[in-house]
Amino acid sequence: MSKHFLFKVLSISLLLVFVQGCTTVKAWEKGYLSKPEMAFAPDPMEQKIMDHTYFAKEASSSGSAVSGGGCGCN
Amino acid sequence: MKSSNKVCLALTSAALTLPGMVSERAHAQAVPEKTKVGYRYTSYQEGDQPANTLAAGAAERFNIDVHQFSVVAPVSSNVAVNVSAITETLSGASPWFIQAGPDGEAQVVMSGATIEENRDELNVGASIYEESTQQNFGLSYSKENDYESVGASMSSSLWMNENNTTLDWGLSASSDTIRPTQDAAVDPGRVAEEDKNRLTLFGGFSQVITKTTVVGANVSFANYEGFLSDPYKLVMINGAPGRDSRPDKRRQWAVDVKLRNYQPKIHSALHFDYRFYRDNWAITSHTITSGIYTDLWSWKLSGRLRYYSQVGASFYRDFYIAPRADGFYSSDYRLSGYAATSLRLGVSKKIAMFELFTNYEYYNSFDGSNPALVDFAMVTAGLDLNF
Amino acid sequence: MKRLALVCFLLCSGVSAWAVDLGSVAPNAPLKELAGTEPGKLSGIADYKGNLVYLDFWASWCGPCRQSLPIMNKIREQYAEYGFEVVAVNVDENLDDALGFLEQYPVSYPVLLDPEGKMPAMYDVQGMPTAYLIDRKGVIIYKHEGFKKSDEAKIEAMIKENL
Repeated sequence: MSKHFLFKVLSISLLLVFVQGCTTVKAWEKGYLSKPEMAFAPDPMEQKIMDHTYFAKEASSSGSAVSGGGCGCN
Repeated sequence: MKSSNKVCLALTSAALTLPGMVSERAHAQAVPEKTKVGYRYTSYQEGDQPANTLAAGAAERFNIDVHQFSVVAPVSSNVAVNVSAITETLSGASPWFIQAGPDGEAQVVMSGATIEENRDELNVGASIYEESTQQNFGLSYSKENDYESVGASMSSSLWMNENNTTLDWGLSASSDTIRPTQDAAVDPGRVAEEDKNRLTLFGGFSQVITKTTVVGANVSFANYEGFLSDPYKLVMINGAPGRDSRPDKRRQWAVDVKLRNYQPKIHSALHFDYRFYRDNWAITSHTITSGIYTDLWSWKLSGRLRYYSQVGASFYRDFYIAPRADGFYSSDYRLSGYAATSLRLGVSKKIAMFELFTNYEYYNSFDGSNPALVDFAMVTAGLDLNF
Repeated sequence: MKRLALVCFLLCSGVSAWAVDLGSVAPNAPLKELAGTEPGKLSGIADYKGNLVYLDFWASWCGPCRQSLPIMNKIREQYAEYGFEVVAVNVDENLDDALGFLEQYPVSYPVLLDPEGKMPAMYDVQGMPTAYLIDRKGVIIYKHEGFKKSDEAKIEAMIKENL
């Protein structure tokens, strides 16, 4: 069931990419997108400590797992 | 099609923070113009174990003081290096095992003595910027009293479609050794030394939709092999103590979807993230995060709500009535079914070459049978310097 | 359905409508002048024909522009007497952002306002900042994308060569 769900999410996302390829935002129109608060991780140091904390306190981290598995989580 | 495309500032990428790397990838394609030095101090405090579910042991849970340092510097026209270090001091008691109380309800026995431990971590890496690509390499090392880890990572990003589409992919691996602190009086038979290895792969993309909207999606897979149990924890099997004993293999998958949308009238960026996770221990989880980041002259304010829920591992029980055929046992609340919400608030201000930060987060777990579910508060203060 | 999407993607991502290249005549559009000879009036790069013109597309959100504007201001002051001019076209959607930036990094050369992006569209600008060197006959002879401090020498050399 998970593989099917994953596949669905991926296909829809990829389709979005292809369709949106037709409405290109130009280089001089990227003022808003270039604001630091529009980044996926506006503050990398903050992101790291949050990921580290959630990794130590919850069961589920993979792509966001921090380096150095030791987490002082015992 | 013209391939020349040096973009000024951020076009974001889908890659999440990869093990051993600083995710500076948000400002990519052009080498950073300035060197950035950052420092953060975080104080993390868990709430005491409530008396009504505390069978024995100390009520005070973890307090952690964390110092983070980071330097990102351009070293040539297309290469930047990064070095980051974390040092933390941890003290407090943790859940040792869960037992059935007088009325059959679950109670936690905490570890008796409060421990004090240090953990240090060092990451170094480099990023190479070309016409429409970026390559990142990183090495990491961490050490604490009973744990040591070495890791490496690499990832790539590719920009296309006038920098409106980004593809990212990468992998990382680490090799860990655990040498648990021995305590023959309280718990003889604890393992002396064990290893574990991890391999993570990810792939993702980001796509600009309009001048004010960008979306991203990412898929990741991690494989763990080796000693994955908690050597300090016990379980109760029909009233008699046994060891926390987890499978020696674990495979994890996660899908992340992110949206960023800017609302000019309120000078704010709206964030929405969703993550779905599943592993072969039968744990599944959903994480929903939404946030607002507002810019008011030189002040930046942010607020973020996170909802997390997980279904427990197939072999998890608060306590066991009978032994299991597969021999797997764990009463660690982190493998149980529960939900948690957290609220995070942040303020930052730019003053000349500095940017000052402060954050507060309150995290609250609920809706689970394990009495040792944790609540915590985290306060961070720090600064960045660009020169 | 997937094939249609693929074709659409290939069509939409690969095509560049205008090919304004080295050797072509520099396109012009009338824009409001913020600073320069007559602030508020409409002007364009055509008004500077006969000079060697450095046409610089910039914005307040453009990091490298914090270095390029002061450096170009310095170069312009050095060579203005020989018939060299810098014409800066600002593409900020909010005038206040542009004004704020110029307060921090003031320049003495003309700044034209193009919030709708008419000029960069005519030049099919691919990245910010981008600058074009236009000779006295109005022909584009050099394009410079991005900006690093180390670019100063190269740009100055191109200008001296064509004065």
